[in-house]
Amino acid sequence: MRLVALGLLGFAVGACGPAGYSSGALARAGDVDARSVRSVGCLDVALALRQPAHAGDAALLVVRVGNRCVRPVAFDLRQASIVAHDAEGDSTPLKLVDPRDEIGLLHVDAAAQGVEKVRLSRGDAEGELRRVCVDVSRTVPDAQAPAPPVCFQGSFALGWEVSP
Amino acid sequence: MKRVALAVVAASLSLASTASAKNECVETSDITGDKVCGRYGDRWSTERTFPIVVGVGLWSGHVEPVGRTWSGSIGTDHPSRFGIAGSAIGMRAMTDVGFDFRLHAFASRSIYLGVDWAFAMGAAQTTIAPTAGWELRDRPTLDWVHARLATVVGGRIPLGRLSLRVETLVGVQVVALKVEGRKDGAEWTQGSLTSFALLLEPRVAVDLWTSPWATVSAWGGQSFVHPAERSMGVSFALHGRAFDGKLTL
Repeated sequence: MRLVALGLLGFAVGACGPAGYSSGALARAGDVDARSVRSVGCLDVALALRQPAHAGDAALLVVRVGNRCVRPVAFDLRQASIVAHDAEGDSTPLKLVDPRDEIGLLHVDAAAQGVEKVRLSRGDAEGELRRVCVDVSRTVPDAQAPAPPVCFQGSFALGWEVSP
Repeated sequence: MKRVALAVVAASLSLASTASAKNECVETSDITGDKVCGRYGDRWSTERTFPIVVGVGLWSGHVEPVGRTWSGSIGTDHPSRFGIAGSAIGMRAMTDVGFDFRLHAFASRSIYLGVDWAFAMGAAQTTIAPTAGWELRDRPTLDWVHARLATVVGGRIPLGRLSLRVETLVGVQVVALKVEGRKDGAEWTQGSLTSFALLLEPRVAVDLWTSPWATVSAWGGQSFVHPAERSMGVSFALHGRAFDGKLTL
């Protein structure tokens, strides 16, 4: 009887453990627009663009990722395709700035979610950016179906909004 | 001289606070490449989290005095020491209850290594046969203390929301019974009977995942050295990696 009581107590304490990621949770995260959420295999990926944190950068990319599955899932942000379009209609690929070579193929833990902020560089390209599109389809090697790209409309001065 | 002492104390405090500040990393940015304490992938990737498990629980041990080697100690300043047979302690067995603490880490996907520390108490009510000229009696308080320190090696079988673990604890355990003793009708003097023993205990445990990073477990073990001695308990653990890396086989 004593052990049963202890067991119930333990269960009550255990139920207070940290909860895992559940589908839809990224859409409720305050720092990303719900319209930017893409499901790629087991992962939900949500994006936002912010003003650049360093002079010379194109923008700051906010990436939220959540794993709906109960197993770790490979995720490689380097495989994201990021293209910027300026006012003249010219397009330029944007690159992740990774001075310490930290970004690579990692596995998102089961039911885990995380957020990262990554600098974007446009190299020597000039002209004010008006539209940035990010395709995360290839960031999850196991994913079967492609996800539509997320496009942002705006400028440094006005900020960036997810475009329909 | 006083000034020198004060200067030494001040310098020590200054060094201590500097060392403390050096050990405490203060994050200055949350941007990849600018972080000084963390890295991209910390907290969410399996590559950059540690597969450790920290647990705390309640347990109950069943100890039989017979078959153990005991030593007695009466008095505090110049204690009188003597050996005493387990059979001199009148009770057949003692069941105690206490807390245990666990830290283990996975060395591979299924095998883990760690340490386990446990402490339990009880109130023994027993007679003690006179030994080495001492008349002995137990004290009417929480007079029974049982402590264990062991290394753990075990294996885990993931079975969905349940896991089965089989492990072995290897270490030492000490059991102490607080007593009072006197000789020739003199005043009662405080002392203790103590038994040190090797701990070699196979255990079986069942874990229930209550969240991806938390389990509630029930376990039971039996001493390999004293087969009549058993222990069981319930525990709550936090895991550094969701489902310890694998939910099913």
